[in-house]
Amino acid sequence: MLMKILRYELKRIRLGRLYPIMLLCNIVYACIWMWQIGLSGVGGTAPFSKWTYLAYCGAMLPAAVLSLLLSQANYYSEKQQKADILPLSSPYTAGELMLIRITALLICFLIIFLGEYLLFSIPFALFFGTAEVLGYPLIGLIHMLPTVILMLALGCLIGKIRGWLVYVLAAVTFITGLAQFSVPFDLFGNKFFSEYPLKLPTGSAGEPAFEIVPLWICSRIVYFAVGVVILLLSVRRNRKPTLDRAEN
Amino acid sequence: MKYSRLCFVELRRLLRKKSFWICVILCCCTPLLGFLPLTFEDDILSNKYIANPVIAATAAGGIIWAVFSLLEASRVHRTGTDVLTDAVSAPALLPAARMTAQIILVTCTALVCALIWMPYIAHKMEYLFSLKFYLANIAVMLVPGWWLCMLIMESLYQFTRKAEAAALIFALAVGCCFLPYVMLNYSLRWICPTVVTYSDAFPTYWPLRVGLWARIIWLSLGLALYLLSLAAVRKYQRGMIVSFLRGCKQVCLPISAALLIALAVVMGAYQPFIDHDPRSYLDEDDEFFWKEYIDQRLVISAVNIRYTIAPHLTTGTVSGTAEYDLKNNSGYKVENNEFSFVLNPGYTIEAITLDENPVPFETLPTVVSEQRQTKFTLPQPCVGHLKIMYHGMPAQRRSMLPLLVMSTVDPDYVSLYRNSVMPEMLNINVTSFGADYSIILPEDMQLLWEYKPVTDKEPTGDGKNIWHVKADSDYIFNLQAGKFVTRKIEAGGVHIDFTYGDIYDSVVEENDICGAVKAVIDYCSEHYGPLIYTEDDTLSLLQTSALITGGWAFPGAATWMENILTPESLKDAERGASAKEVFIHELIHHWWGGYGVSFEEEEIWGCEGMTVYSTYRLVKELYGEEYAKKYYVEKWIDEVKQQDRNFYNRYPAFLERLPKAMIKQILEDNSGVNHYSRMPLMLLKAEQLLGGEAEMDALLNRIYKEQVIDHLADGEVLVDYSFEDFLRDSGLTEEELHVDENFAL
Ligand SMILES: [Zn+2]
Repeated sequence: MLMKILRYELKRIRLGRLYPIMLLCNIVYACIWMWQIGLSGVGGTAPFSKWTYLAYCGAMLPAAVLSLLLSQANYYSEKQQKADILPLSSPYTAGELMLIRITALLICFLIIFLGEYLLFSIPFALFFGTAEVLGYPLIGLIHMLPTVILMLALGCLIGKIRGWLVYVLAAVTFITGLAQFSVPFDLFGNKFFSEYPLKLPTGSAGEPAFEIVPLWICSRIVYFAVGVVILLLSVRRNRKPTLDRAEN
Repeated sequence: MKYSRLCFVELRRLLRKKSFWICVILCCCTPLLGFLPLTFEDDILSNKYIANPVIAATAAGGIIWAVFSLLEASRVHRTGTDVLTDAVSAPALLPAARMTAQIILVTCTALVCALIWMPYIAHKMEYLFSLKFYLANIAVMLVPGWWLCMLIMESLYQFTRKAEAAALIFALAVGCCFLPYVMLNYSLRWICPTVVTYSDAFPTYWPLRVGLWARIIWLSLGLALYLLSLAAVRKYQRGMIVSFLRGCKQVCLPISAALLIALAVVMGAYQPFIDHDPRSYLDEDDEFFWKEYIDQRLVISAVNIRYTIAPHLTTGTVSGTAEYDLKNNSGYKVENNEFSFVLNPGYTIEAITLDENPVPFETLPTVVSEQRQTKFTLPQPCVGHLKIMYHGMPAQRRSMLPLLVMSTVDPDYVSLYRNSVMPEMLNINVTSFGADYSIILPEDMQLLWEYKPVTDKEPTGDGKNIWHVKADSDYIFNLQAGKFVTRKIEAGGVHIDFTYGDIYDSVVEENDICGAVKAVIDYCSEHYGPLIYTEDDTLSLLQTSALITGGWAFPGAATWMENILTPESLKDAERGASAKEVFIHELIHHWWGGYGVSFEEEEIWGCEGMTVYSTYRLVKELYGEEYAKKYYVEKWIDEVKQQDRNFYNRYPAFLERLPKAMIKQILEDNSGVNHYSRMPLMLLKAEQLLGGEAEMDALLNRIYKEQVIDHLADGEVLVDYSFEDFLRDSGLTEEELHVDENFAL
């Protein structure tokens, strides 16, 4: 039954008009950034370096978060609230239902992520004749997933207060995302990865080798943890009142 | 149903449509396209924040509204309600009402869009923002552009009755606007008029006037097409031709359409802005066109020449009077009493009198290089007081449009060249006696004569000044008037008249630009040599309108492009760490670059590097070693380091495989770093190798003397100074001067 609802949610997101457009926008956005930073390489590193890939991921994040939040905002629209009566008659609580939806959104994110990764890796692997890029998805996911989870959790939190607030959150995220701060704990991180390698000494290859910045990895863990905690809290808070409504 | 009632119904229906609101939102976003990096970079804020977004919104919004009206027009047929609606009203009435409603809504959208963007644009343009100019742009470009697109699309649909066909024809028509020939012809580009440049301080309405004229032509054509298409609205399910012929029975539609087309044709043929010279190129022989007259023996001479010129700022026209006292001191009798002069073809001759008696004259149609000939016949013995009165709007040379706007009269700015100031006599001797000019201008305008500020003025009492100029020759190249401020600066033994638009006064004040002028001229005169364009120890440094491209130097005057003082260019970190230092950089170009030593532009050699180095030296003298090191030397090292680290500079083989645009971008970046950072470092290294600053200055002094002063003294043309010349003069080798990323001081 759980899988059934998940599949139903996925189908709804995928077949809905919004998601394919969003996916397309993300890909177009990715192409622009490939041109802007990908091809020239960031911070004096090669275009196919991990630094460049992470900067590229950082540049993609605001758009990805924006599309996920917009999809999430749909859940809180009036029309959707009415349609929710239907699945609510299933044996699952509203909280669990929300988790299912978050999972569906995460799967959507993974599709976007995969698309963007392929857009980055395949051309570069062919153009520069290097297989190095094929091992990058993990580090990209480590960078992107915590931000996505945190933002979706925040979306859940404020979406419960007022549905339209999710749109505000989406807009604010995207605009601040464009601003990009040059600190390792920046939510998005494009600028940080572009500038940090410049401070590093060059290795034998003529460019700094990739290294994991401790503050960056810590921030990722914190974002991830905070996101999960908020999610669990809102699942618990949701259990009682919505059930009542469903019973009415 | 009555038409007005129908309009109201349509208005309400459209306002309820989701697609309409989507179009509104999209249209409000279209100015963003003007800010994309695709559009050209510009220091002139009116171009960056008004021209680019307005043009982008006009074109993109026009397309959006065209799509919208196509959807609307085809809706009734798609849904099959046409049979129903046709029964309710006359067939042409409904489309007409819908179009009226759409035009009202689109106009409102344009206003909303203008209001939404205004705070941002006003904020970005700071003190250079002019509400009047902004709204004029919206009114001339945006609103008619959107109307036109809807009218054309709607007519195409009514004619073809196939949405695909209408869309295809429309797309082709839009595509035509981007053909190179059309791009350069201001009246052919229907989707949006061409704007080459605006000016911030000397706002010229020229592109707007021309644009408005072109708009009226195109709107007339669009409306005519639309009226004809209304006649073609299908009636009783008949075909196009039958419906059209039936529709034409209502005579008023085809007659008004014909009138509109006639209006457009007349307006197209008689544009007042251009000289209608049929040639689209400049002919070198033009100068000799009037040779037959010039070669004539000049029997009659003119003395006491007086010109009175009054620009009318609101209409953009000029009234002028030329007076001559004709004498015959030659000892010959006049054989041919027919005389002629040439004048700007935009002017008409109102009267020619000799001793207050009118004389017959005839203006010939031939136009050569902004000149048109007028012949007049004087009664024998052809002496007395000759007076010529003329009036009109100065016309531009057609071959120059739209690249250059030469003569223009605007509410706050006047610039007149040669024959748009006064007539040039062809077979009367006027050259050797000089002339008196009186120019009547509003009180708040300053006159510039041959790029030099004039001081002799006298108020007329009605809010105007008469400016008097006593010129040695009968020939003037350029006259300008505008809201200029002149600061007098004494530096390097030269009197400097520093003149700029009054709108930049606070910039000049805040950044101590006058101090920069004094510092540079003192420093460079002492270290390198005197300025060369001075006349009687005076030099006019003039900021000119952006419409005049390039900076020029004349005896006694040197001009700068307008962007010398714009906020955007004063922020250019490549040239200096502060606005004052950017300005210092520009002024140093009077020694290194176009005005002084001209440099061979090589990979790591050019005037910019030398100018940056000199700027650093002067800044070091002004603000101390710490400052100069931090903002100049360290910045250069950083840039060079970054450049050397760039992947493609390490692996050039990959560079060649990149897309062309990318290669161009990378090479441009490289060239910027080479000229603005690597070359100054190289010169710094030369300074150390030569033994210090004094030795370097001695070398630069010698270069300036040999390349400029000596050449001018010998009357020779300046030759480009190359890197090889520098190696020879300094006695250093290329290897010694090589700069890499490990550069150490
Ligand atoms: Zn320069």
